[in-house]
Amino acid sequence: MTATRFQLDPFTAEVIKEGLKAVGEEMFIAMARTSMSPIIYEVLDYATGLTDADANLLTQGNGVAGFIGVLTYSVTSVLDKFGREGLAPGDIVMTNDPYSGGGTHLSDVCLVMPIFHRGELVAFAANKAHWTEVGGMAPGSWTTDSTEVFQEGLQFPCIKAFVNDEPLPQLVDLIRANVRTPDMSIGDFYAQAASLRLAGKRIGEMCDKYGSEAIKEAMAWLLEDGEKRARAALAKLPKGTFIAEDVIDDDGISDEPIPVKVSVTITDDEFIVDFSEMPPQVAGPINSSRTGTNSGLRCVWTAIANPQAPVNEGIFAPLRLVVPDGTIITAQRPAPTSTYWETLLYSLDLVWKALAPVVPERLSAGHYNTVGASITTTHHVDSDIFKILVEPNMGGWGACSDRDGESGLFCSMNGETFNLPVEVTEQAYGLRVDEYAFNPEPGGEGRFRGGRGVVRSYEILSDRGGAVTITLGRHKNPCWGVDGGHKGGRNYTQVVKADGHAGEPTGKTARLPLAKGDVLRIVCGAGGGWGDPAERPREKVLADLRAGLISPRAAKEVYGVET
Amino acid sequence: MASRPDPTATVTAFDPFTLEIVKQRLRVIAEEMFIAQGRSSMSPIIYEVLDYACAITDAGARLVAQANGVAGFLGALTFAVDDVLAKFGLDGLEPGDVVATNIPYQGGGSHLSDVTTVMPLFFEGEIRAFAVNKAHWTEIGGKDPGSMTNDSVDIFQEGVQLPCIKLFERGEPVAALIDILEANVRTPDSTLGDLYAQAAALPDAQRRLDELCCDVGVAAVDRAISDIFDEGERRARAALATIPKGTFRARDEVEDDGMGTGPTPVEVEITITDERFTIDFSGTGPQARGSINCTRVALMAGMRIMFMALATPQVSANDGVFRLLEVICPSGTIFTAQRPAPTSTYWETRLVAGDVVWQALAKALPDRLTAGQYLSVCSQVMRTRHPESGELALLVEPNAGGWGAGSDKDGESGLFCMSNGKTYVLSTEVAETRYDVEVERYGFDVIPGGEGRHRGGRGLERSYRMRSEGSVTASFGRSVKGAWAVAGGRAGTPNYVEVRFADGRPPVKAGKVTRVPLERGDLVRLVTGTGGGWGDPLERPRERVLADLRAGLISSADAERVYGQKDVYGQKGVEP
Repeated sequence: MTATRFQLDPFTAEVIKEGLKAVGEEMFIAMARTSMSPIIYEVLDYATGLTDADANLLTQGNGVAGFIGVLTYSVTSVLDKFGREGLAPGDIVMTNDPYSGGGTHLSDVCLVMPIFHRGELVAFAANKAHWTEVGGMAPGSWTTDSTEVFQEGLQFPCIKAFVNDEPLPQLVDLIRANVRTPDMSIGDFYAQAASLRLAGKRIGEMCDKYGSEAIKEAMAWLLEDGEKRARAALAKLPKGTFIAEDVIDDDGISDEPIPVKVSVTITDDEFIVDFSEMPPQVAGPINSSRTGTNSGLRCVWTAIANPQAPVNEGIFAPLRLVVPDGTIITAQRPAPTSTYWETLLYSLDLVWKALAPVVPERLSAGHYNTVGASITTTHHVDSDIFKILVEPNMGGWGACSDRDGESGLFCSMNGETFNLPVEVTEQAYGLRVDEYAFNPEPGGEGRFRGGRGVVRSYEILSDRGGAVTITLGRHKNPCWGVDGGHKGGRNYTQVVKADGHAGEPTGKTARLPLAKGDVLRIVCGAGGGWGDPAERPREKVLADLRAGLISPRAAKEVYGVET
Repeated sequence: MASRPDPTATVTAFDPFTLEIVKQRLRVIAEEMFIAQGRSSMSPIIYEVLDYACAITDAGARLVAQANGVAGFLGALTFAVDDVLAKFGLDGLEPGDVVATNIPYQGGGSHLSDVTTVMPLFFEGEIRAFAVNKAHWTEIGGKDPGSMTNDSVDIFQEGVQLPCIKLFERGEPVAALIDILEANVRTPDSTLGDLYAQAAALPDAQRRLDELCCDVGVAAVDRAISDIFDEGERRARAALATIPKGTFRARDEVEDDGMGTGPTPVEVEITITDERFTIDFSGTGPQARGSINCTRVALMAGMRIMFMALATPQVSANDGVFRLLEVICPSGTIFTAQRPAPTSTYWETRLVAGDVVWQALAKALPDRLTAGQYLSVCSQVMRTRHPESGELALLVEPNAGGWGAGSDKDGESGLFCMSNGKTYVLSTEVAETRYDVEVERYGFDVIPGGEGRHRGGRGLERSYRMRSEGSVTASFGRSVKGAWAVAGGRAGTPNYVEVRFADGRPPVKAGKVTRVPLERGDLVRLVTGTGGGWGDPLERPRERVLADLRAGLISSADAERVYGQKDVYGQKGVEP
């Protein structure tokens, strides 16, 4: 980015910059307040943001950290398809194409609106949100056993959903017919559009007040400022090449383990992430796309470089991704991608693993590394209405060089999302939450121990039973420790039948039938430990014991503390 | 040059010659659409198999004339026009609009693969008629290639639903929708090709209607249409007078759906009076979990075919013919499934509805109705590739089988089932050129079954040897019991699919197979049943048994065992 000669006085520029950020935040809040889906308004599984007229990200409000920077690519795909000349005031473009601007899976639907001021394109507003349903072979749309994108729901290939501020009636009818929960999905569609229009209104007001030239200049200032911060952060990082390897459990279709590898090279100018040795795309839905991989890297880069800095395109200037097309993280059409996050998390985690030993002040040991996403379907016990409960599940984060890991937190790419409160779950979905507790199973021991995973159990109450689809990565390959710290715990799910018989723990299920009285247990493991457990002070081991976070046996066998 | 009539003039009397010409020209509009669509389609299932139909209706959605490939589509098209009128009204439509639907529970009426498009036909600013056509698209997305499958449990798994929406506005395709279709189907070139071919046939109708209205005037056209209806009704009424009156009943069942539902009982009570032909399916079992569900529109279309076959086989279908027909069936049965029931192999059940009516009336109408037929479309979706380009290619086709014997003749061999009508088989040459397969056998299946004084027609075996990897999904209904016989004839034989693996694994043999993986060298045998026989086989004349033997249609063992013919060996042309 070349240095810009700014005409604005720094006070006005600062006011405008903060104003732009406020627009991003206001869009975020408007979305939560108008959405019809608990996964949006409770879990915050969406992101909103602004870019300049060239798709440079200016500001982004996130629920999901994995969406950081992904909006850039959505806007880029809109410009690629329509060009500036092909866009007009009142247009809203829609995409969920995983291989281009959508970048994740079909459930994440992104709406992009060009913002004009006096006929000139000045910015784009974008909103990407997880729709509970987009159709496909499985209720809730994502599943662990799809083998083509056609099975994963309706694809919106970067199309104009609104023209002249009017929704295309055919499209609304089409969505209504093709999704299993039309009121929710259409409601979210309109909520997204409303948040974009709000941004358009605010940007318009700012342009009226300061003039569009001032706004554009403040945007450039914002980006340049971001890049300055990124360069400063890069200067502080150790230089060299750092390598990490790991294994993905399987693709859900076969049991084959999938080895993965990264080589990170940090120079004075660039942060180069080389995934050239990644394996080819697989048959099952864990494939990630280039766009998804890019946003995963943006997420981990933000954590490494400057977690406090506001997110914009400038921050990402030093970042360079090297990877051929057709790998498991750059899958090509029609590869299934509906549980892409399992692999996106690995690309993020690999960079983390490569750098944790050399950037210990910023990076912890490995965390449970799965969204823990589940789709539980049942009929509400009171109303007998069909319900689809889609939610992420929490687990343990890794220990740091100077403290224990966080217990019961969402995974790295989920970021600021929330768990679904027990009360909301029971009231909205008509099942019973039998247990919501820390998981004291072994794993993550160390001088500093990994945070505790979580157990969440649902009892099915409907006479008509239900079904569950769930994907828990790191079921076979627990997360990594550092410097002699132990590996974390395993993630798994199991069904305990009404007669008390507990089923085999597993990492992936697809539409597993549940009967009335069955208890579904979703169990996430502890994060990795840091340092030799023998070095952990006795009083901290005893405190863990008292808090029920470890067993007496672990205290004795791993920490050497008799009680 | 003769002066043309004022197109808007109100005229009350027309000479019968002009009227007859106008009526024929209206019928020709449907025929011309049919030819235009066939010539421009990119899919063999359209241009070879003719799995489509075209029609025109009046402005009130009443059928004026229809051109069919698939008899099952006969009378099905008007329901889509009803939907268009209900949703948009005459005021909500513009010249050049093309509305599409494939919703099974409404005007689409069969399964998602069958897409109906409707265009309002204007003259002098007013809607005078509708052009409508319906075609089977090879691919419309969903969980399985080819969109039809046996193990879907809801409609959302079966492909993209087009809920009566304008795909074209004022002659222009709506870009966003075309892009969605392109993204959501596995063979976008062929699917969009089918769409454009279908849409291209509609403006032909507009052009011809314009010419017709200019030539003779709107009033003459309107009069001709009402004449067509009246004549249809008159002929249907006259035909009804010739068939026995009374109440006729039959029961049967729909086979297991492959997903744990069934067999499902079906019941019919037919009441024929001078005024009315009432078919009542009350008592039929509930909709199934699997994809064999039929919907009300498909049932109505099926009953229109039956009524045509029974009452008025010589009249061309139009709204007037159907005025005497009444169909009663509660909602939510396997014949009238409700959203979101899967329907991708709906024909299996719709055929049973037709067949149970046939059974109820066969004895009363021996001059019109034969014994039972093999009764399934016997359709498969084979995933293979194009032998040259290597691109994904889906071999989708119906299979012909044996029809039942009549009271005075043997059954027809190797004919499509009653819901298919005038469709054609995919020629072996086309199959081998377009798909990476070898047709190893295409011949009559000569096994015991269907014997009688008049014997049932023979089913067929069609066998594909795979030249590369692929998979097969197929639904061959009536795989448990064969076609029913009359008056002491023998039952026909069941339909089935058999996959013989090159690596020596035990073969798979069933009525329904779902995504069976295939390797190079594997053999897929598609075998259809023989129709039911009529009358005691012992009464079959010796010379006819010997002729069957010579033609290779029965074995010499059966000639002795079933037909009681001794000393057949050594007869002219009969090998020992």
